[in-house]
Amino acid sequence: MMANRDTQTEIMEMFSRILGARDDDVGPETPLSKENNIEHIDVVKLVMDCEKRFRVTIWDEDVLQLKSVTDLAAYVDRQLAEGTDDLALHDDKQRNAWYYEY
Amino acid sequence: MDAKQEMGEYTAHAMASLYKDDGFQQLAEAALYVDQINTRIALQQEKANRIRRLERMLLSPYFARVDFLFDGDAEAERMYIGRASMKDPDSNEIKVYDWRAPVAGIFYRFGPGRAYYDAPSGRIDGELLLKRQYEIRDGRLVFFFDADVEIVDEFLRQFLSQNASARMKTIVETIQRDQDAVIRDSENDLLMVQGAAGSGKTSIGLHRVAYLMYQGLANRLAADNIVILSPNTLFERYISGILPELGEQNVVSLTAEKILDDVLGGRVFQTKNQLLETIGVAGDGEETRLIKGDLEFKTGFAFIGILERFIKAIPRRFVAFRDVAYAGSVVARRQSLKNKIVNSKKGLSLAVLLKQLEAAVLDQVHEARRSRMDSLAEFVKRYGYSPREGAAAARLLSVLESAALVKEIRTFTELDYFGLYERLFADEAWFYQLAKGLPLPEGIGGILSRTRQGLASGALSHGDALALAYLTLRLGGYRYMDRIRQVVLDEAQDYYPLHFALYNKLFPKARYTVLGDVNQTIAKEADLSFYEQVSQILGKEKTTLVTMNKSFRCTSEILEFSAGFLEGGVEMESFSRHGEPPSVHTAASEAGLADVIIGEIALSLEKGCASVGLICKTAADAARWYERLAGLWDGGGSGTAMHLVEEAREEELSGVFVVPVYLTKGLEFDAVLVPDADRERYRGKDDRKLLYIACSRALHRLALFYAGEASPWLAAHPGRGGE
Repeated sequence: MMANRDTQTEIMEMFSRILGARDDDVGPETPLSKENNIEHIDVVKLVMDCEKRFRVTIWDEDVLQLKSVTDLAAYVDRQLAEGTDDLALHDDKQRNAWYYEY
Repeated sequence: MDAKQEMGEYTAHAMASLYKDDGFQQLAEAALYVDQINTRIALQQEKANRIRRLERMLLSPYFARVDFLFDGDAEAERMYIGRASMKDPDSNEIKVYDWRAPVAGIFYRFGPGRAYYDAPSGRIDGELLLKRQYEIRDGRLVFFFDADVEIVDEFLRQFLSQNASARMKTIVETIQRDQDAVIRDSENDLLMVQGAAGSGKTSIGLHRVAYLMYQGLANRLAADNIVILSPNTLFERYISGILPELGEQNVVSLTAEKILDDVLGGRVFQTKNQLLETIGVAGDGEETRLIKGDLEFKTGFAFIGILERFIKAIPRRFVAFRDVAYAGSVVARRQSLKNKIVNSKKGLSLAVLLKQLEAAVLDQVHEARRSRMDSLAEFVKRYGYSPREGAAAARLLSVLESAALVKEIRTFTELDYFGLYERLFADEAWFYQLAKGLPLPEGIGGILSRTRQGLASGALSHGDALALAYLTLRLGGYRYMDRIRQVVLDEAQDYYPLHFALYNKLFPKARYTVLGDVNQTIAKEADLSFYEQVSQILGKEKTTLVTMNKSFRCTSEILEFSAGFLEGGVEMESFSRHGEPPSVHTAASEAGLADVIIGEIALSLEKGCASVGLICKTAADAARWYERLAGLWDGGGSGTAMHLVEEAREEELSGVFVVPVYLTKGLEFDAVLVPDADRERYRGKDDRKLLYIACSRALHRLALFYAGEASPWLAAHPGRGGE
């Protein structure tokens, strides 16, 4: 599925901030793998940032299936389009509280 | 054209800007506007098509005229018939009728006298006073004559005595009465045509497609509602010119191989042509018997029955349901999961049911996740991360355990079709139990063990590929061809019951036109009961079988000679066009034969043949002859090149060709040469049909060659002469 270019650009920017100095030549299609100096924890951080920024839920079981930033952007767009009326999480406040408030 | 392109670009721009608008109101307005533009583009395209058609009509505006006195009228109406319709834009008067228009039926079906045609409003009766045919070439009237009976023979004879062309040509000027009935049939859900070699069945199938795209608005089909199933890509290319020539958009054309490839998701399998080549090379021995036995069993009625029983047994027996535990407690019990699937009354395919089950289980997991996250967060706190790092670490733990969980769930919610197919053969006792009451072939034990061995090494024989595709469709509910309303299936005689069962699943909403000739099967027996089987499997309400025995392709001499290879002789009528009798040549060695063949090729070209087909039994034979002859061939004075035709290559069929017989299905050549008509190659029961197929490809000239001993089928041939 094609990702919306705006979503993808924004996610790419967030990812650069997470990777910091390691962001040599990571592009939207770069596989999210150790060979490219990308750890699972980086991907998880990116996922969390996306959830906050776009107000969507990215299900944990799907996270490791995302092979590139483009994949992630497509996932986010899909969730946005579906309006993510999740069973467990009824609004953004609840979602944020659920994952990130201590 | 430019305007159209500009409009296209404009629309693309409008579509892109849609994404930038947030307001729904704006979006709706924009959608309205895009719709309008799309309509404008469609209109524009329609206009461009119309211009093309009219341009073509400038060169040949019509080919027939009928003067028809409508019952109750005082004066006859004069109507011209052409490839497309032409209207006076001011008076709206129709100057030329499209050949597919209801009134054109008068021309195809009647001689002078009482006549009628079927209009949307009902039958229209009257008197046909004049039926005149024209030949107009490059805008000049060449000749015309008045026809008494059907399409006049002389006209047809002239038409037929032309050379074969690289692409099949339209026949709108010479459609015969019974052909017209098939083309215009809209009654039947399944229309089957048993047509002798050269009876024009392929051509009729394509003209029928053009008709279906033209007929009354309510039933009219668009190009993407129709699919043509061709025997191979060579044939696909051969017929590709017809619809555009008739002024219609080309429709999707598929081969059985392409469909298998799609359904099997790219898994490697033995193609039909590979199978035929193996059989052809193996000859008439034990190996061939085994291969054919295996294929016939796996593609036959009994095995379809076995597969259906197997499919029923899968949820209970072969889906490894298990308890699903999350965060220390069981969220779904094995037995309840199994019951949900086994007792489902939804009528959905198993794959879909299992995916729904997976989603339901995950919903429960999601509900439990909130408290799970709390305990994971609690857990990582011990390691003294910063809040952000801690949250990420906790989330990562959840991600990892969720990934593992989903992997576990998918061991039973995802189907491995190949693995399941293997399981069908794994336990022989169970297989026999499953097949109880169904007729099994004699060598079933051997078939089962060979299949087990084959599958274990990952190989898919042609029969296994078809069976696996069927299994995949039935379990996976793969229905990407929902929009297809008409399937035109050519060279149907070579398809097996399983093919039709497969297509029935693939094109659930389609009506069928099935064209074939039971005398042209390759490596397979068939008689007229074939059509009963087809009708039984497709299970359509209104079904008919039309027989066409008149052959238009070959000269009488060639047709008679070809038919001599058929068992018990088959009734075939030839259109009386005469030519040289077929010849049989022999030489002491293959090298000697090569010189004779070269001589015959040169002679054929000299006599005006544009296409010469050297038809061999197998691809291996074709390669061997090509190698031998290409060195000797000097172009025959006209610089005509010699080509070797290989599978999946798209060739223009003009010049000299060396080709295996199974690739010549549906094709024709001005001259056909059959080398190797010897005892070694053509002695089996199936081989006589191969000789029949090869010989009946010829329009004007036919010659057979052998070194050593002649094929028994040739030796016993009643019309053997001219050596």
